[in-house]
Amino acid sequence: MHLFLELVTLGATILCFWHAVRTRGAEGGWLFASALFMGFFREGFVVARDYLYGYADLTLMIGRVPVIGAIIWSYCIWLAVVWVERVSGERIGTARLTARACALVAVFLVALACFFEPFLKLVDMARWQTGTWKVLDLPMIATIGYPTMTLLFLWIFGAVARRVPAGPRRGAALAAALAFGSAAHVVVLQALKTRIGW
Amino acid sequence: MFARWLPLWLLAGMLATALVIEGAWYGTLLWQTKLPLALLLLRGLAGPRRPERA
Repeated sequence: MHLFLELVTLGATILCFWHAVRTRGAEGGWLFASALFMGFFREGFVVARDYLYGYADLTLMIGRVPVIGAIIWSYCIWLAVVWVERVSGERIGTARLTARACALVAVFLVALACFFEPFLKLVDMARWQTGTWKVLDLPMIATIGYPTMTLLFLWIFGAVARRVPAGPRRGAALAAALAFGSAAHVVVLQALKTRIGW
Repeated sequence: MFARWLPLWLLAGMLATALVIEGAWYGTLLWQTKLPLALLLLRGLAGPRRPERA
């Protein structure tokens, strides 16, 4: 079952990467590749520091990082970008984020958390820290973590892409900003979770 | 049109697969946690609202 889900998610992510490049060209490629980098860095940080949650023993791993945990971020982010464009006509990417787009992204990511987390618990793929507050197997902290991480990523990507032209310098700037941003997000989320007892 | 909104169709397929795997049809409560996403997806697949006529 785990391998089936890992392969389905990998296939969906590859299709979404193709879709990003096909519909947005280089900008879509930059956005998706940045989200992939952020996902791998973030999940690597979670595993290395033993924060928030752990994973079952999975088949597809890069080092100690489960591939599904890393790529699911780029999949979620691209889904949000496409869904917001579809329902509101707003194009998320290098342009400055509007308040409406932020609200729509947040609502969509909370709904995604409501879908993914109870399912991951059921199939025993993700294991949250003991004592994590859950409603219908949904860890409530995930309703904060999913939208805030996605909005932080979109804000960082847009800010860097507007200032640095495409090329190695943009790649380096994105890597540095996303590594710092995603690690900081994990640390703050863990601190908040501990503080409020979620 | 299908290819333009391919990610949304992929997610719809994933959602349906999860419901089947969970055996949601047999009375578990977890289907409720999928309702928000199902509604948002339906809204997305339906497309933007048409502008009102003058």
